[in-house]
Amino acid sequence: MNFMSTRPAIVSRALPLLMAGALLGVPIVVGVGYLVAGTLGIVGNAAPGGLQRALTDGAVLRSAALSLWVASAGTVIALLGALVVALCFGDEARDSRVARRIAALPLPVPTVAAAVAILLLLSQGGWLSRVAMRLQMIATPSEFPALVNDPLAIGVIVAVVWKELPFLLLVALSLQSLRGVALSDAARTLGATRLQTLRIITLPLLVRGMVPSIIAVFVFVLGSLELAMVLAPSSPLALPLLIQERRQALDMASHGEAYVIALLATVLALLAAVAHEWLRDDP
Amino acid sequence: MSLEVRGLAMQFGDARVGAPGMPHTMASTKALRAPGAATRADVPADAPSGLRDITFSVNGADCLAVLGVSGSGKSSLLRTMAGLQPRAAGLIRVCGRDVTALPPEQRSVVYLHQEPVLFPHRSVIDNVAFPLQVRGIAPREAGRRATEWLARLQVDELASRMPQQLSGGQRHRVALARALCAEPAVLLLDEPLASLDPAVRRDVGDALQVARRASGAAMVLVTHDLDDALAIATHIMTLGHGLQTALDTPDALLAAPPSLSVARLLGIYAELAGELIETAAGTTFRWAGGTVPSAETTASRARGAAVACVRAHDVHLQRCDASGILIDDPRAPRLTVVGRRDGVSEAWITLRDAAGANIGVRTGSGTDVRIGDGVQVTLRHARIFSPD
Amino acid sequence: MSRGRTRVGRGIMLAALILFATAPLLLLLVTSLARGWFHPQVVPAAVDVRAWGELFTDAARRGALVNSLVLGVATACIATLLALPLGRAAALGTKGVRRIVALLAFGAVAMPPVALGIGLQLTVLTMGLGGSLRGVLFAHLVPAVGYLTLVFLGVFTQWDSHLEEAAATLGATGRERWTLVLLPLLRRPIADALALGFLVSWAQVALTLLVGGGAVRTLPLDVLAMLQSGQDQRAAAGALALTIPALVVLGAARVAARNTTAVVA
Repeated sequence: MNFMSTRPAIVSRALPLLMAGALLGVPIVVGVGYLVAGTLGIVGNAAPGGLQRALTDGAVLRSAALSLWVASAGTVIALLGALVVALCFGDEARDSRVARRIAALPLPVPTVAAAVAILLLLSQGGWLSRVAMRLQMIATPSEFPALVNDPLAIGVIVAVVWKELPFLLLVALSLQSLRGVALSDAARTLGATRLQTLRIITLPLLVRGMVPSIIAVFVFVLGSLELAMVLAPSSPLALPLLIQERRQALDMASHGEAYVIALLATVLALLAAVAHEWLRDDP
Repeated sequence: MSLEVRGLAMQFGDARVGAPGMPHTMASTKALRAPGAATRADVPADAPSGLRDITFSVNGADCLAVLGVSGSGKSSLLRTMAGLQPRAAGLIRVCGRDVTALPPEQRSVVYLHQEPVLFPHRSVIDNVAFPLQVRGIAPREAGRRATEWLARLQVDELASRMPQQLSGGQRHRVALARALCAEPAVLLLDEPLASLDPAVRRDVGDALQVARRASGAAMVLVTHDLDDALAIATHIMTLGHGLQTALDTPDALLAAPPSLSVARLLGIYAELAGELIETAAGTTFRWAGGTVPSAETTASRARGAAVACVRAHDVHLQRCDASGILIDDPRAPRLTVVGRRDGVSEAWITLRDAAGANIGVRTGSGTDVRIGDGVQVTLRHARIFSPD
Repeated sequence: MSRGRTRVGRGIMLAALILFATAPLLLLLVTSLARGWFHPQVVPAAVDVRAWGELFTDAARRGALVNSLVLGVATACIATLLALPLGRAAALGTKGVRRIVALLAFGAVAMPPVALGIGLQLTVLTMGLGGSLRGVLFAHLVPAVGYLTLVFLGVFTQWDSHLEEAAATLGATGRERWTLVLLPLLRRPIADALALGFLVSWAQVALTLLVGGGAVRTLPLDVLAMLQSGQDQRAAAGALALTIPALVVLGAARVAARNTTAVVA
């Protein structure tokens, strides 16, 4: 690393910042700036007072609640599932490799495709509904519980778990393989039972190591348009859809709200980015 | 307190996920394979895949050092005794109690990794108090006892620090304190002094002595370095080819290693090739530099190729006088010094015999010979072995 | 150790995992081939590959596919070219610099695509690229460069500079060090980066919608349209068409990686 110190210090410090600024900073700043300007009514023909309106609008609050619910529930379930599988496979190298390969499958699947698949599976006209009918558990499609486009957004949560459990599983497996075995061996010979080791040593350390990934998953789900478009209910609308709807509405007041919500979502995401960076183990 | 092991057998290294603390230079990482796995180019095809017939016992406050080359199964032995690895056969008794079928937490056997494994999310004092906590001892009492152990190992001022803030030596001491806090009957140490700087090494070595005296636990430590073993062990056991090759006190072992492989393992002998012949005086070892009456032989055959193992200070070079006459033994062959390299306490001298072959010998650095001198070599206390 | 019980338990879990991972994809496959598959048929009555064929024969669908491919490849290449030097420069800098760059990169990734899209609309319009393929490419590049910067930042932070130092003391110039030492060792990370960059663009929905303004059709948008108009078979075929290259591209990156003698410490 010291090898490149033959360059003047200002280059090694300024250069990457300039590059990052140009490539990443500018679009972000412009994007956020536009949102801010829109919120303040400077551009985009939005009526002023958008911030206040947005925060008191019941529809906005319900959308936020829905999106936060989906992101939280999806992330938590995916995390629990990943932990269970990782701890089940963690200590046998061969099984862990197999688990890794299987887990790698849903990872590259584009979110749209995943959403379509879950829709085909869980909708009232979907495959599970047909099986239920064949097994004579229901008589008509509408007797099948509404799992997609429902107020609880169960369909979205299932899709989130499908896509994100494998990701979290891979993170957990890789964390475990680093020193998980040595830690649990040490604990066991010091007198801790399997359960005690799990509770006091393995799980806390694992979850701590996964916090950046958990944040990443949460943020991703919160902002995903595809999941909302395919699986989320139409009332309340998920946040990304709400933003879009307001943006494309005809009246200027709605435009303002769109900018505000987008800005708030962005601020949240950027805060999460800060937390993610701060909590990551720096090499 | 005591540890007794009888007829223990196990496979080398389960395919455990990530075994940190194994130095990358250790060939053992490649030798640790279950039988039936594909042989790799660097592991000999006939290398054993496990240990068997391991039998020994250790009394409380005694220390057994297990000596062996990388890959000889030392770590596997420890892990099996700790219950972290299954055993294929044999029995393990701790304080008279049969623990062979018990899980690790019930054996009263603490295993210490080569790199201290401290729980990173707990402070030093919480680390040390851990064994008491899992036993259900009240936090106040656990803290008090933990502090006592920290004090005994002279790291009590670190109590509220986190493991990441400690130096190497400090981490070792804290790990020891934690192990002793568990009041084990047996303490297993996997290469405790390897990969440490000399200063830290002394530091940790001292800590081990303190540990041994303070706890009264039976210690088994694994090492590939004889000096480390000698510093602390009351007994030494050597491993080779999947078997136990020696078990004795350090003095006895050094004076009379039972086989050539053990002698090589100890690493303190120079080897001289020769042969055993029958003479009027009985079986004699003959080599390029003369003969040695083989009263001290442990060779398995009375005749044939043999190897003499000698300590450097038992090799005596005597210069021929000015007229080329040998002083000690007129019949002994005369060798010419063709090379000399001096170390701190030993000198490596290359001799050439009448046939023109070069022989290397180790002797004390005070030896007064120069290149070109004719010399005569006398060996004392030579141990004669058949080649393996 | 009750090895028998844990073995069975693991076997069950493994099977459950396999089922979990593959079931939705299998359903997509079956749906894409099923003609007139109505409720409550559990198994399709008739099978055809019509939907698959249309991906190539129907002008609109083919156009969407081509757009997606072009955008994907372009994003992959350009983002890699930009992110590699950025990641390297940042990794070689101070800890503070690394943190800021990582923050910006992660921000580009974390920002809700809808919000980013609204923001980028203005930029693209100002550049005169509104509603064009180039404009959408520009939009895709933002999260792509973010992702890839994080990748290269990670790679170069753990980089072993000893190899370059050895090469330098053996007389290799800067350019030679790049071509003879760095780039060969970077084959694996570059392969990964290209794959990731491709996927970021390939799967993108929100940015394409907002910045393209409906004028630029990509495969994901196509799939959504099919779904919304109730054409399940076409939607499933499109979704799978979306998935397969993703799997292939990542698989190819893995293969390329295995063939490298990666000596990164």
